[in-house]
Amino acid sequence: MPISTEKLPLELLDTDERLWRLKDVFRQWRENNQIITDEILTHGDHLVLFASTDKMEVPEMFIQGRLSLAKHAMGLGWREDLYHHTGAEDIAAGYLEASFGQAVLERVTMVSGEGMSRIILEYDRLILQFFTPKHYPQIFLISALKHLVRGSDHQASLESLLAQSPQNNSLVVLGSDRSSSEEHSQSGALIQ
Amino acid sequence: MPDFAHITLAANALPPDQYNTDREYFAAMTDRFGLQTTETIVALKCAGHTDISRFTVLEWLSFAQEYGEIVSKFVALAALNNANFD
Repeated sequence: MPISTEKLPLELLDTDERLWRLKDVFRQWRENNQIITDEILTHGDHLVLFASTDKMEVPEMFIQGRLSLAKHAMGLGWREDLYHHTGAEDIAAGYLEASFGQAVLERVTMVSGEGMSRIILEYDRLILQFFTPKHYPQIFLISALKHLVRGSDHQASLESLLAQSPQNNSLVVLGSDRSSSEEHSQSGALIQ
Repeated sequence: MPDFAHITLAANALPPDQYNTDREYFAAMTDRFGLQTTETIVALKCAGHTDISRFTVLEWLSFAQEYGEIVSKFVALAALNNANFD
């Protein structure tokens, strides 16, 4: 499954209302000198937290927010699944840049399947390195869905798709057969 | 490599088995690394509130696993950091 990323200018946070949550996390990062404060709890369920990294790989994940795109669109094993797909190194680059103190805003496009089972997931993500009040680094990621397209011409909002089956997307987006796992045992029928 | 040189060198902490309970250990590590907000995020995720004394057994197990893994990474980072200064 091909995955690609495209860097976006941070100015987009000011102009695209869809990115309001990313914009607020970026504001906190800037105004609080990259220190984590309880203000971030406003977005707690939407955040994915990682360890800082010095390698070109998706770092170890600490927390996958209950309402995060990663949780709902990619399933629990997406970090490992990435490495079975072309373009995964592009995904990893953003974390490394963030670990060096850069604010990374980029669009990620994931394509899986063919024909009517083809899925295109496109989302924008902001990756920032915060520090605890004791100055230990953590990577924060927050995403906003751009669009999700199923089949040749059917476009659905993530909300409507998730309302049918929250884990369904994980099967398709990362192209893994998890139908044998208990968590996904009820989710394979709808799209497959 | 990211610049970790500014990380505060933590005071020597007791090994985990020197604490009376897991809660005491977590409390000490939370304070040591400044993980209060992270702990809150995990607590809210696992139990919907932050009053650990009211966690059910399942909520506590979930919290202890998730937060314990995070704490262990920071302990490892601190150990690496200290080793780099030896």
